[in-house]
Amino acid sequence: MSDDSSPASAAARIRKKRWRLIRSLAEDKVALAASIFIAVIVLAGVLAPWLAPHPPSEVSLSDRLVPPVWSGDGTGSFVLGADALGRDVLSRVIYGARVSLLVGFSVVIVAGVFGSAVGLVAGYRGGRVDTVLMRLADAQLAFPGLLLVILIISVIGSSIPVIIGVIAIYGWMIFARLVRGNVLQLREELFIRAAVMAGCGPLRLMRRHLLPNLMAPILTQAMLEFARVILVEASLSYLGLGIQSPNVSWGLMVAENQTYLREGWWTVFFPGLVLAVTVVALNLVASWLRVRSDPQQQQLLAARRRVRTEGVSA
Amino acid sequence: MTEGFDSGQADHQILLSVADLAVDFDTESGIVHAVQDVSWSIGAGETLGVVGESGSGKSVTAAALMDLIPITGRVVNGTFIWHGDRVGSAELARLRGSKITMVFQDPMNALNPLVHVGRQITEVLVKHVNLSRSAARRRAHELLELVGIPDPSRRMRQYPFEFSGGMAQRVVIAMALAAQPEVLIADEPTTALDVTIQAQILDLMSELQKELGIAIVLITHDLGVVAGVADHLAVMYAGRVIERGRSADVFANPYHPYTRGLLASTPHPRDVIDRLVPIKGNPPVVTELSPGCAFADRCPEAHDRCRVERPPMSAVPSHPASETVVLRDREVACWNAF
Amino acid sequence: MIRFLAWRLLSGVVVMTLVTATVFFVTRMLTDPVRIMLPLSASQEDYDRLEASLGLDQHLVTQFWEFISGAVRLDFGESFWQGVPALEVVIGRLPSTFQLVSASMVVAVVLFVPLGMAASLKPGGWLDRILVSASLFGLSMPQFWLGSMLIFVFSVKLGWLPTSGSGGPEHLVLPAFTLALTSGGRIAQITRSSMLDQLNRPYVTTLRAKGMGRSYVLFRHVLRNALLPIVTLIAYESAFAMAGYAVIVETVFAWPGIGRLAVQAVTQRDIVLLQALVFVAALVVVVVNTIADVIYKMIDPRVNIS
Repeated sequence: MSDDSSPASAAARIRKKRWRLIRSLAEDKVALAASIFIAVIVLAGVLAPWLAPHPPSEVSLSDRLVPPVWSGDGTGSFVLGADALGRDVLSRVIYGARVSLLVGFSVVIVAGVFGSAVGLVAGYRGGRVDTVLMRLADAQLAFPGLLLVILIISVIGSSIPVIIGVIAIYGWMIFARLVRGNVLQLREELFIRAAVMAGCGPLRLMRRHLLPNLMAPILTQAMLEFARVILVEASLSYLGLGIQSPNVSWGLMVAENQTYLREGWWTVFFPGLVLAVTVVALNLVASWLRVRSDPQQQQLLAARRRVRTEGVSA
Repeated sequence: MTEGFDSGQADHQILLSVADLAVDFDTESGIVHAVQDVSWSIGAGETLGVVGESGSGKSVTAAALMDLIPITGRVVNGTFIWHGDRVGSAELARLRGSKITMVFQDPMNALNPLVHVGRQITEVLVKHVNLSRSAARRRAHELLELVGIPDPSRRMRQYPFEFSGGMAQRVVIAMALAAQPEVLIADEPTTALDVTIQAQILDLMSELQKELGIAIVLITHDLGVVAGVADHLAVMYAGRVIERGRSADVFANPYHPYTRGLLASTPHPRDVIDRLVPIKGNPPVVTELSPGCAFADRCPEAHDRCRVERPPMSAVPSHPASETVVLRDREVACWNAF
Repeated sequence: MIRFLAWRLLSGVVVMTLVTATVFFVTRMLTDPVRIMLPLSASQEDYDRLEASLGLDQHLVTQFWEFISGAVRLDFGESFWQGVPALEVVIGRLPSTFQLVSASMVVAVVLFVPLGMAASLKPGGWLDRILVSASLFGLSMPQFWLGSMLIFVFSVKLGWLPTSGSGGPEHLVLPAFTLALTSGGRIAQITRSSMLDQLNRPYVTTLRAKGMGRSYVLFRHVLRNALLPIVTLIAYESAFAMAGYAVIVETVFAWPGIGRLAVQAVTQRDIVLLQALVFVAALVVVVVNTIADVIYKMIDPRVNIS
């Protein structure tokens, strides 16, 4: 125990764990492709000013509705074509990633931290605290979420912080329920009871024993929430209640160009496609994470690996 | 390996035999030979006890008979003989649920939670006995009375969750008796029940057997359960039968060290034993079997031959102590038995 | 059953009170509704007149009381935009939304429950693998984009169906399918996992040992058990569609339901109408959930009353 917790070996252990995680990711082709796609989107968002061939709002009326490069009339200057104002679709898709990632990441952090904290307290304390918190979460689930969000935004106006705030208000209880459920289960586990009997205080117990065991489900849920939040942001922007021009969002792009569907399908198709694939990729990585962190599933995977490398011998 | 099994039985009225049964399972860690070379037979009105630890393959045999092997497993060898005739899978399918029926370990989960208890009995009668709905209801009423459930008309309209474990097991037994079977397979029928209820259910089963003349295959890990009830015994270890014989014989003169170990570690209802002796070690994983006797690693009497060569089932010569009684089907698989 | 319904009713009232309080808080404390409703050029007199007519010059507690008692009488005041009671406007739009959501649920259930069942019979088989990935794609699709693409293919390119608006049943096809594909993905997933769960239960083994036929076991026993989570999800999806997705799909297809009304109310800065909308939507959600609970209770005798 003592040498196990020395910083050097702990670091080595984490490195080893990380390496195992990467290796198992490399084995799952679908999850690997999904994570690569997410990495590309993240890079595109971060490096947008350097990657985008045009400034996202550069209007060029002479280039109105130029089709994508591969369709006869296209030009190399607009790889995915240009929209009704002659703005480069590719550049706008790249800039759109910024907003999606910013909103998604912020909401998941805010809702995840708050919700997990509530769930941890509710699950650990139990009793009346638990009842009140969970009833609150239940009642909120019965709320007409999107309409309430629309009401709030129409009242206080739309800006990125407001969007993050209202989506987070609606997202915290998913984390709260998840963490509470897991804590209730963990509380019955032998090692937790042993730790309590050994005089482990509540704070130390949460930090050392509960949180490490909760990380995997929280992370999985965070991925799923990320996907959901990106969809909600795009939907709000599509309705004109989210990101406002001149900022760029995938949902806003679809809304702006919908009337030109007949003359320029690419202006609607590509932003929506990138959005859809991002959401699918996030869902795929989440389900891979879930399988990875389920010890039973992991055992199966290990067994399968053994059979593959050593052959069937029985 | 089956010579001993075939010989000396023609004169008994054998109802059902299983011969040379082998069942494999595909698992993530390779193919598991869950059951190999398993043979047993049961006569009309008899009780056969199949005894072994969990994982010994005792339930797999019954599952193969009832076509209940999960999709990861398959029967790779074996014959079933019914009233002297070899039966194929189509004929077996007709016997299932009517002539051969089954009682399970966990009665609460063996019943569909959302269907009235009455209908779960009548559906058997409608299917196998061709009774009309109303005739089936009357018969189900009689069956519930037979298994000792008070107020059957009310109980028939109830759901399984309104029954206690013991009462639910009575329902399962009534269900298994509905089509007037000749063989009833009971797979750990008392394991999930309270100790006091266990005895009641076992008593009920032997009463019903006397009354209806049914043969019972009693599968259990608990020698205490079969002690008073079984006529014959088959002891299984790591997927094979390692000792077989008349129950009284096996209890009086266990030849296999494993059987002796089992006896020593079971509190016997009639004898007062000073001390229970556990068998050391754990049963082997059936994928990692050595070419020798599967029990060799835990056997106090094992020698070199045991580890390299598997002892076949061989007939036991008349034991000096058992006078001149012809030992039907008395076999053991151990180099050290005699 | 009566106690059960009473309990459901009570929790419904609690939810509705919370919704009303939230709406009040949002519209009175986060902002000045009079400012929002008035054009920028309005004078102070205009302001005072509107404030008085909305009762906003009174004390906040009085306002809250007025608001709650108004909600109880289903009186939210006049829609600023339409000049008639807001509730009337909302109720006038409800049938369209009901029509759209029920059509999409019928499509989703008829299409995806059997698919989920078929997939569960052979886990890992080709149908199962296709369904698992297809349902993931279905529920990941942005509806506004899926709807636009369906319009592009079936209206613009093929010319089979109208692009948008309402009228004959042909107008309903695309919006209903757009909604159904999202909900259907989840319905297929839950059907599959619920069936798989039930097929592995011991009572199925018993039934097989009783010699009952495969389809008898499936349709007379397993399906009934597997239905419980499916019913819950369908109710949840319907409620969710009415109070959420409808906004997007109705906007894409210019379908005259409450979702499109919400967007119009925002454009018209008609807060009174929005309040009525949120209240009615919450009421619909509560009613749908209660119906689902009652159905659940009818299927499962074990559900106890608390």
